[in-house]
Amino acid sequence: MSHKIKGGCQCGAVRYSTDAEPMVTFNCHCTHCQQASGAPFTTAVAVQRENMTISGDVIEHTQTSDLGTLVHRFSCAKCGAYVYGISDGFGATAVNAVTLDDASWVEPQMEVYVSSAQPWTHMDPALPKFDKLPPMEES
Amino acid sequence: MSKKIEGGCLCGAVRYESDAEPLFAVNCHCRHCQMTSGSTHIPGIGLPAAAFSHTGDVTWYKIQNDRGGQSMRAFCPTCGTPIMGQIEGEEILFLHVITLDDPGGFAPQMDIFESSAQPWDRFDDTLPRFAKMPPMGE
Repeated sequence: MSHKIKGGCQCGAVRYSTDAEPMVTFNCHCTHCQQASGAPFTTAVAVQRENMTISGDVIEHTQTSDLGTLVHRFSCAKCGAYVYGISDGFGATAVNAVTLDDASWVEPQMEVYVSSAQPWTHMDPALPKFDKLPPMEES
Repeated sequence: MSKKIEGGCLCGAVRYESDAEPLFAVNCHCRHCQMTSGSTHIPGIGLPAAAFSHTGDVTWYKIQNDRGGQSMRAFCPTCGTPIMGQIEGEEILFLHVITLDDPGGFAPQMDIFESSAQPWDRFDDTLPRFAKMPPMGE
């Protein structure tokens, strides 16, 4: 079954779309995701970076990840919704799953950066958890 | 949480403080909190707006809520960090605890707007849950 990855912010100013299949869906507890969202973690759906079409005025905030590569986070300039991020290191765009027009298919596959999680964050005990990232190759 | 409330946004342009004791501590799963944060819920505390101050510019976004009023959300226009919410006309702020310098002491009393929660969200079964708001005196 293919999942259309299409969505945007609550005011409608920022929209994104791709026909690419998701690479991975995960909950990220890193401090940057927490601070950028104002929430204890983000649930993100990642696709290959070059496949995403995005429109609308965004606020971009760039940080260096603990891997030494840049992560760019994008919020709607009008309503402040944190919509998506781009990882230079992984060559991926990750949209925050709650911003999908249809999030009914979303099931996080893992929890990452749990070493940074807040002590009161409630996680699904069945999901694999990684202090930082699972073993993988960067593109 | 008995210590002074201090915090701010990701880029440091906005800083806030309050000496007030939180009025309540909740996990809000409403659609506006989800869409603002890009997450499944926002943990927050209630503070009297009169006892809260901030430096740096914030942008307020207004959206109609399901009770016929306007929900407002403040974020940093430089880095996008969502900082707090407020119902227009009410004097209580909903401060997003992740933006505190030290959010570790957060102790939610309940989960609200469970009716809007995403299916993959996870709850603390020891906390009371409400489909929307808990019953309260008007």
